[in-house]
Amino acid sequence: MSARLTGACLMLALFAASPALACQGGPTVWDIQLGSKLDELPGGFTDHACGSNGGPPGRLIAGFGAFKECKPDGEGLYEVAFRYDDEQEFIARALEQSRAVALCEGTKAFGFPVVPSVLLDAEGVVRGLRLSTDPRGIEPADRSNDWALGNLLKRRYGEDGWVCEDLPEIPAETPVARFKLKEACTKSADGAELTVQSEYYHRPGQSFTDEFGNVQPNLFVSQTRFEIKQTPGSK
Amino acid sequence: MNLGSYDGGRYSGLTGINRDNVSKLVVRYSVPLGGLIEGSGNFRDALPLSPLVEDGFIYIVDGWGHVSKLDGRKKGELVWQNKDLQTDLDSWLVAGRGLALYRNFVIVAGSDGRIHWLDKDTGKTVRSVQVGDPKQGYTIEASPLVVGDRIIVGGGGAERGALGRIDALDANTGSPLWHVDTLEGASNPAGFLGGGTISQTGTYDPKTGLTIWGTGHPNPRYNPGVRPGDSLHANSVLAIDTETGDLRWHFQYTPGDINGFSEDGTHLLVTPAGGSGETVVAHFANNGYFYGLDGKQGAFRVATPHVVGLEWTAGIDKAGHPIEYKAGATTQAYKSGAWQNHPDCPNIKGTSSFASAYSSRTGLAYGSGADGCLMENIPPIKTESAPGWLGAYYSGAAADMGMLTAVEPLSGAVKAQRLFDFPLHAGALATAGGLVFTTTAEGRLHALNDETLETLWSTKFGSLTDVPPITFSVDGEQFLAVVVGGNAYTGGLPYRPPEMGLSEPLFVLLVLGLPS
Repeated sequence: MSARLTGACLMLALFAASPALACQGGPTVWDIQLGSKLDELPGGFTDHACGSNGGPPGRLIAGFGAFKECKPDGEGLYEVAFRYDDEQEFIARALEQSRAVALCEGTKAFGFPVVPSVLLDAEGVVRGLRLSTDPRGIEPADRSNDWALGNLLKRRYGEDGWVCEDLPEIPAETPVARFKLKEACTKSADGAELTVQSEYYHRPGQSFTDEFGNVQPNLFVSQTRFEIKQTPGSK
Repeated sequence: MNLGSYDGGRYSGLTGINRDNVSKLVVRYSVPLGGLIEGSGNFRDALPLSPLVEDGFIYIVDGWGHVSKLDGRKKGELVWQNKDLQTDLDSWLVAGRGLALYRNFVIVAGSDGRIHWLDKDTGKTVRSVQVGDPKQGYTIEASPLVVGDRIIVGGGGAERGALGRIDALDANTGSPLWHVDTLEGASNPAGFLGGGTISQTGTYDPKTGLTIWGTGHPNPRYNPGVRPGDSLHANSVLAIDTETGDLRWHFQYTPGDINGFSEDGTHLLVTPAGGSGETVVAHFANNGYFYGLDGKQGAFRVATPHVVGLEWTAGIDKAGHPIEYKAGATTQAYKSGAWQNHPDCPNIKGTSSFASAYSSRTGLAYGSGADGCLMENIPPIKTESAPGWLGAYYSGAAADMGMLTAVEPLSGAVKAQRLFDFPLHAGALATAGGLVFTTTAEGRLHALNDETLETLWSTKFGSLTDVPPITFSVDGEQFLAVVVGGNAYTGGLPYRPPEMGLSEPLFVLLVLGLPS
């Protein structure tokens, strides 16, 4: 991993110790460094499971060390998804304490619910990280913003240097707004390949109102998918 | 204009409706303006918008972006309605708060980042200008502010990670004149992921030529670890030279905030009695303090708590900073974990962007919102169908009790305070009739004594409202107008009285007056 990315991770780890609620200060996906070995991965995560290429986590496993119970992908990488310890967030939700819910925030990146996962090679070395927005259990009003996580991720790694292209259209898909967002952006930086894919549109047949004028507020696609992979040969 | 005048005071000199006769108010006419099921509308309900009245005509934008001109002399008869601007809009975008008038144009801010000029006589769209990129999260929530031949536009979009910006356009051509990034000069650009957006219209001081805007929270709002430093100029007030776009001064209320505050609410411009003293910029801050600043230079003058029981800081120092503030620190040592049994104090939904008011009659500023600090002696919440109902749908309901506070802006002294059973999501209106009007979210309009805040009269409508009242006169007769509406997706009301159930989506302008 490059000095720049390593430095950023160290800086974030330091700040995690700032004054905070008891639920804050736990490890996040940003504390995982590319090139780390299994015994260097931070503890404190929970519900380790075989990843599904950014989709809902699959079979639960005992921890990162059990990664070989998962199937490797075409590149020989094992995806292990996990969650942050969100017990305090659930307590705050039960009490409907809005600030505590927000501060404890559970498994989120910059306030967006996500499914985080690590990509391990056969030796158990971290070769990549993956984040996908998690649509489970959130209101459509919040889910409608999921595509915007892509903008924050791009800013985190520097706004310049991204190359973006539209993803192929599905026949009969339609815009949610005056614009249709369906693009993948890539960037090479400091020994890593970055990809941010953001989508906001109606699938064929989806619309906010049906032919009778009834409201269908949940019928749209809004999602972001992020990957950072170590460039082959870099350390 | 949207806030009643350039000073943002929402104060009317009309006295036709006053303490002696306010109890006689009746609904003189109503105008149904929209409904969610009419098409691709806005799911999020009406916002605290304000209709405009000129020459007896009412101009109003509804929660779905339709703009209407109504005839105030003919019981609100529709003159024209423009629905074009809503076509193909994202129904999950936050709707705009209102309109502006310029010569023969109605100026409309579209939630998709466009400004439109409508012909005042026909309602036809004459010109549209794209100000910011909605793909970058940019949207416009605040009403445009017209100053001379300039239209000043504050950009929103905090929920979508937008970067705050304020733009000036030539009111005659739509050409861009200047542009201010609210986050420019951020103390830590590497970790700054957005924020500082605008949701309430700015004010304007003709004496200094400055336009004053409050900015919202930094992003990520609740995770200071990934935005170390002060997050300048989020959670700030910016004073911008209207002619040149130069940032003349700024004041940041909570540098490096860790508690989710957002200071995008109204900034009142208060001129001391007699009109010769220096203007004071007054703000009911989301961090629980009322601030008074020097209007010319932005120097700190006074800060006093407008809610009781604040714990996140031990106080505000002589420079206007929280006492724990350390310049240059990566994160600030404000309290966050010390009040886990008191987590919603101050309430992040309190005074965040609601319209406050200032009465030159009383010399008091009125700030509305929700409490969140009360822990003891909480009065039972009463509704018409269930007297003594405790808001059992929601364990933290008491934290959202409405609160209206009257503050003397030059000294910061709290002169009166009033609790309501439901939150005040709208704002306040003060009049020379000795009254303050406000609405509570369950749909009640309150007329209060402007000195004691005691209720003189109130009435409940059939649906929710989070829209502040306005007042106007037509042919010498004073009227009061309020918008009533709500829908099942309304996010602003955390709990509902039993009789509300799921409110029907509607948007009705009610105009009240004394019996004719």
